[in-house]
Amino acid sequence: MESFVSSLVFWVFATGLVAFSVLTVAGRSPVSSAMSLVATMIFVGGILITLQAYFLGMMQVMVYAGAVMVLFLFIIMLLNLDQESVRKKAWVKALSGVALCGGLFWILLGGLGLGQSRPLPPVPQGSDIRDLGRLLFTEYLLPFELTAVLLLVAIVGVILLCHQVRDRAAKKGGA
Amino acid sequence: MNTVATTLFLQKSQEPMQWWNLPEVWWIFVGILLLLLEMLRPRRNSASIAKASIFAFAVMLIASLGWPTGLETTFFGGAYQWDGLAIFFKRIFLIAGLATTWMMRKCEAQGIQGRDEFYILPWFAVAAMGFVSSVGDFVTGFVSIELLTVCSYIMVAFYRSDRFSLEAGAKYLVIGALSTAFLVFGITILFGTGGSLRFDQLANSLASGHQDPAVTMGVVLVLVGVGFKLAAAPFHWWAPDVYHGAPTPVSAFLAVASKAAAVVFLLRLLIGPFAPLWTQCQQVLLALAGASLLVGNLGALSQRDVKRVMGYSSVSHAGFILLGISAGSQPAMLSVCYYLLAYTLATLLVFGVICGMIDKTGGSLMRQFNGLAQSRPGVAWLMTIGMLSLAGIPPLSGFFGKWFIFASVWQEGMYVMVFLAGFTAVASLFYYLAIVRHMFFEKPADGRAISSGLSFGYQLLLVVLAVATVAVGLVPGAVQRAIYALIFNL
Repeated sequence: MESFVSSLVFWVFATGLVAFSVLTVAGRSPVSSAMSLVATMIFVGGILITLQAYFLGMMQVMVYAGAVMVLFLFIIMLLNLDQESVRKKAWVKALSGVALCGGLFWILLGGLGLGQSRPLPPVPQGSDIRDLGRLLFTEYLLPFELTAVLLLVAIVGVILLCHQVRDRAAKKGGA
Repeated sequence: MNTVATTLFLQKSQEPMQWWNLPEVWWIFVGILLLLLEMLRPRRNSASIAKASIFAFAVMLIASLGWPTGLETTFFGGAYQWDGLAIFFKRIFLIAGLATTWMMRKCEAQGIQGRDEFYILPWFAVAAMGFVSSVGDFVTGFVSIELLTVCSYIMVAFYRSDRFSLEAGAKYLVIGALSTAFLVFGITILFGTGGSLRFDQLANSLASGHQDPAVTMGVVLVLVGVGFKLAAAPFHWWAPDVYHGAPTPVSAFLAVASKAAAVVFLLRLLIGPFAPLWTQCQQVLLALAGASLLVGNLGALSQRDVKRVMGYSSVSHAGFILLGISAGSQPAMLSVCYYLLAYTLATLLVFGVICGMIDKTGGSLMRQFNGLAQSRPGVAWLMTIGMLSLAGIPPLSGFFGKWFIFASVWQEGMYVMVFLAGFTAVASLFYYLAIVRHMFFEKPADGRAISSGLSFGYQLLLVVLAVATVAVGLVPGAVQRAIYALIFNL
């Protein structure tokens, strides 16, 4: 009974995930695309929670659906994007996209052996936040610290590419 | 203090290395220091930061001679490996970083607008590549490659008022995201089947379960991700456009350093987790090598822009390198390292000449180089040396690079691939020599000679690169023995 319920929950989340992902790509207005992406994030969080990764699930919802997507919507608002300008119906592109996705799905089906059960790697028991923290500061210390450098470089890059140099300063520098 | 001295001066210490003594830690430190200096400097003056950056690269390159060789240790619980292979590639990255920053200093007039981070970003990119060359688990590898890629995005789009630079940046961003998706997907599948992200543990678990189709798929997806970074066909479509649009020093950096980082990541994978799956990997690598050789060399034939030619040329060189790797033997690995060294020097030389001349010729089209030999014979000859080495003309290092790779592939009995590679190498002569023909035998279109010269420092860089290209080719055996001693700890 429990397995039936958990698989039912999984399929509900998975169907929603796929449906909203398609809507994200196919949506005409940027706002509805962004909102579909929010829904996608929430469903991913749901699936993570059914996998007992409660912390990751909550982070998924809070960080992506909460913070990042609000940023997206702000930007869409600031850029004043309206309906996408008339898009030509490119059947060849659409068909090749569908064929590509179908092919990938077929490979996944064969490669991962969908339907046959596969033993999962052992999941650490107990409080997952504590385990996560311990992993980050022991086994994955180096990549964790490197992420800080990555963020620094990303911040520098955003400022470099977007910040307008004031004319006076530019003239001074150019001399 | 003693360890500081060990890092900075030419002393080999017997005491074990510490994590804060690793070169990458120092490189990141230098990068942050330069960022702080830029913030604190009194007025917007690009020269000081650029000079400091070049000087620091030179110091670090000299300090690299004092690195402890013949020592294999790991740090951070196996996430970082220190060995001869890592040292070889870290030195290549330092050479590329030094030459790139030098070229950037030359190009400063074109669109930096006082944004001195142009000279600082290579530090973070070089540090990221250093971590890639020492990588011991997939998470570290992934984060380092991302750090490298983010630095590259920024540098490619740096001339933001230039349409081509922005287009190249956008294209590189999209392609980079796609390749990252392949890489992460593959890593996820391998983690799911192997149960670990550490290379040594993964090698053990994949050795027992290598019949699993999921493992094959994970491996193929990871190789596809690496193929994008390597600009190997059929994942090369970004290379000519991005090399064309990016600032010339950045094109050089992508062609040399970014490719070397992908090569070392591939080597780390093949001697680590993918070792039990060698036969499957070999097939994929051979297919990529053949496609890259054909597409790179034939695609370059119809190009009219030197930077685009170099883009296709870099695809074809990825093909040669992959061919060497797919031979899989110890001599093959040596020949790949030698090839990479020769390729690095010659490519930096060619891009250095383009970078020095581009504001004088007005562009990088081949016909804009017409008559360069009459007005600037020295520069034309330097360019010729670079082109001939890339084409593989005998006395130069590029020839011996190809020769060693052909020999090791022939030994493995893959005769067809040798013939294919030989055929495409001959085809490549046409486009490399086309540039030489334009420089020596064509009259300049508007009859205007290129008069203004290059600064002494920049000439010095080009001459040093040219001399190194020739010297590595004059004593190929000695260079190969040195690489052998370094990598196999003798």
